[in-house]
Amino acid sequence: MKDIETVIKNIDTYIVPEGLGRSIVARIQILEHKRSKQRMFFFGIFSIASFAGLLVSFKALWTNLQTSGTYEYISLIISSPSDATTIWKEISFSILESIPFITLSIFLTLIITFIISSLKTVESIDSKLITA
Amino acid sequence: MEQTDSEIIKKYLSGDKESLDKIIDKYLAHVYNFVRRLYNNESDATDITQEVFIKVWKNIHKYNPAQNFKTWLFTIARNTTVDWMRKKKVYVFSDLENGEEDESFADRLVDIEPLPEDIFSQKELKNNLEKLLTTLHPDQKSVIMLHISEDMTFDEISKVLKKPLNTIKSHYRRGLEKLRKNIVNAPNLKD
Repeated sequence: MKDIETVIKNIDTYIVPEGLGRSIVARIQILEHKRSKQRMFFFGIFSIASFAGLLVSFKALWTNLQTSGTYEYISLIISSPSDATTIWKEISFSILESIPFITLSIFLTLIITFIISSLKTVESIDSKLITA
Repeated sequence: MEQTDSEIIKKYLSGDKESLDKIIDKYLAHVYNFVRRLYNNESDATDITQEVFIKVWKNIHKYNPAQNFKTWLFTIARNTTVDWMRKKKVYVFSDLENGEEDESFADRLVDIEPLPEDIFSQKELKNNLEKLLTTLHPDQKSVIMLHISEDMTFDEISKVLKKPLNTIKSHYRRGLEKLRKNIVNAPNLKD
């Protein structure tokens, strides 16, 4: 007596068409290459844009630091640290008050964006070279 | 020591491109056979199998290593095949597809009895079963093939088909019962 499950288990398996595995791997490689190209393009554009923004925001930050007085307070700390230590509380408050926070946060955001997008661009180039 | 599927995938995600080839090599025949049993068309089965592995590649970062890879892979294989069949309008889906089954049906079924070996020769039986398998509902076929050929548990299959455990067991019993009933009339299938 043979159970139907045993018979099903023993049904011959289909033979995988020759080259199917290779063609799957090849298709994946093509798609990987395409994806890397798209990522490279996207992050490349992003890197360039963030770098341009970085230059503009740096200029704005520098101007703001000079006009707001932060620059003078920092110069004072560097030129005569002994004087600065005696009035450190006043200087600290003055620096905090004069810092152009908005420009500074834009600048820092752009630095981070630039670093990340540059790294991603390099990563995509690397991956594109591997899949090429 | 042989690497587990999760380890191979981790390696792939950390940059080892050849790890994906290992996964493809390991499961290609399993997926192809499963697809072929669900949809008995050689050229379409080849395309579906390709599609399955492309989907695996596209979604591999979504794979949760805590999950059984085989279950995840066969879920993709099953869904891809069913979608393909729907597009080609190969199968008219019955109310079984909704998963709303009469759970008591399984209980009403008698235990599966063995087949009398002397009715058919082994080869004849295999051939007839192959033909009969094509007549089953895709869900019944999926459950039977995954349980018998892929040694998956009903619990794992319920995850693949996203259906309750009792429904899976019911599919299994119904499928086998249908095969058993029809195999008796198998000589009619002979060309």
